[in-house]
Amino acid sequence: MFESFVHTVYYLSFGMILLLVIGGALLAVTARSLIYCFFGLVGSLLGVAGLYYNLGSPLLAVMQVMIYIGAVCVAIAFGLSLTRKKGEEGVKPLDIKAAIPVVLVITMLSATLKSLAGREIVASAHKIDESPIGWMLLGDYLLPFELISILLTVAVIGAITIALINRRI
Amino acid sequence: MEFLATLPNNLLVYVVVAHALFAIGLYGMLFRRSLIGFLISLELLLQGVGINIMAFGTYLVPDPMQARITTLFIIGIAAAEAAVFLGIAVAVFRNYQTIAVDKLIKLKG
Repeated sequence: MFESFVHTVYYLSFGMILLLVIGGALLAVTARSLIYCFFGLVGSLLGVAGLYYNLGSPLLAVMQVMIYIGAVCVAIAFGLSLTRKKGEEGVKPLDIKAAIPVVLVITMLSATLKSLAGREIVASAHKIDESPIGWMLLGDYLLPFELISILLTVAVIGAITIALINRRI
Repeated sequence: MEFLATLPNNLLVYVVVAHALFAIGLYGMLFRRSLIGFLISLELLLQGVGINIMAFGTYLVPDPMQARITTLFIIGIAAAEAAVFLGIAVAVFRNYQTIAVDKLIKLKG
């Protein structure tokens, strides 16, 4: 009895995560005001963190919340308040361009499903030990790890330089 | 009900959600009026890519750690890209007093 209750709560929470991801994304691209877009983005990113957790990776869920919601979204909020102007929000009216994402993604999805048909599922998301990831980052993947830190430093210094220099580009 | 119970551990659910996020992000990139909306849509698109890599790496690859490291790198690169994009947006707003995508046509021939 108790076990089935726990399972029901788990499935319901998974459905709510899916709803949060898709609903937040739809709000982020269709809302008129950019503030609502921003909150839709935050909801969608939170839902993606939940999906990572369901895929057996609490580390990536925490990283997603810290980096995206803690850093990128705060930066977007500042950019939003620095560049706000009336009449430039909202979306353009629908035209034939809307077919591009639909056709592209249906093609990609059908190709993916077709290639998945013969593959065998080798692992389950619920039995993964994540502890080797630190050793891998400081072992085999040391060079990309250091390159990422150099890239982040250069990008942040470059962004400050671009935003501060007051002359015509 | 039996089918519903397998959904949280099913590769197809993650693949379909990732593709849906990709489509929504692409739609936003085509139809948003301002540069900030463009950036928000770009973030959604990158989320779709990340979910896809995580799902395939978790279910189809013998060593699931590689997908996690790849996704961590994607998150880091997306953070760097967002910082540069916001710097450019602020500089453009300072010089042109607008960030509407349709009005930034100085380079148009």
